[in-house]
Amino acid sequence: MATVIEVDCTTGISTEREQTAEEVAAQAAMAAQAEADAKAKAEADAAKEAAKASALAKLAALGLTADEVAAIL
Amino acid sequence: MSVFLQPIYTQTVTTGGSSITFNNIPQTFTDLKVEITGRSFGSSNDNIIIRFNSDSTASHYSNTVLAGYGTGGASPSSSRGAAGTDNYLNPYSPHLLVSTSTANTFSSCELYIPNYAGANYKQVMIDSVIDTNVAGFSGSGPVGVENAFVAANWLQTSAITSIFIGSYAGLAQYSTVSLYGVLRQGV
Repeated sequence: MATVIEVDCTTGISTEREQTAEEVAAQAAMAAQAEADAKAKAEADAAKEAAKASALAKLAALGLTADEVAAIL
Repeated sequence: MSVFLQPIYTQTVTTGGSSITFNNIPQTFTDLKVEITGRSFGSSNDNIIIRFNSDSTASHYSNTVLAGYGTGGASPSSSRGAAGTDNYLNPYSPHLLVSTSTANTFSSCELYIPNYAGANYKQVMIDSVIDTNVAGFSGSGPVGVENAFVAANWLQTSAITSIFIGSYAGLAQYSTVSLYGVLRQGV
């Protein structure tokens, strides 16, 4: 069972307790959101890389050398 | 101008899967500084989560991340999480190293919160790194190198009296969070 550590900065007393059912549910919701965020970012990154590769290929087809392409990136 | 850094409390996680909350933060300092040495209790993608005053209202948090990665990893990137995206301060970076990451490595993260007791919105500077001595970077079960600088906002005028620090899967054993008060004198 995950725990919650609470520090009272005024008294300097630290206490540790188990998560409540509500806290467990909230953490699970955040984890699900994290997975969704990570998936969305991975997809966005992949799309960006694909677009870059496509653009480079088109520039090469126009006759630009690799050095010339690198110079304008 | 003199600047004093006063340690308020250092807490180390003893049981994996934990979060740490600092309550009743003294209002006598100018700024706050938080140092995090963290690792996730989970095995997949995970990040540090920060909440102020137990506030879980999504529209109150926003952040902009500038991230760079190790050679061979993803290109440096910048992304903005507009207010309302998540109900906590959620910089996509820093990633937290997880149970499958290189053993004995921890993410390092520093938060600086100027004027935390003031009546304006609270801006937060977050600086973080991971380095697992592996080239490149992968965010899924993080390995490699990542540097991130985050500009964040808690869009509330209340003084910060409480800071929650956790992650999706909870912090692993030996993760440590230190809270400092910064006192500027002569200003």
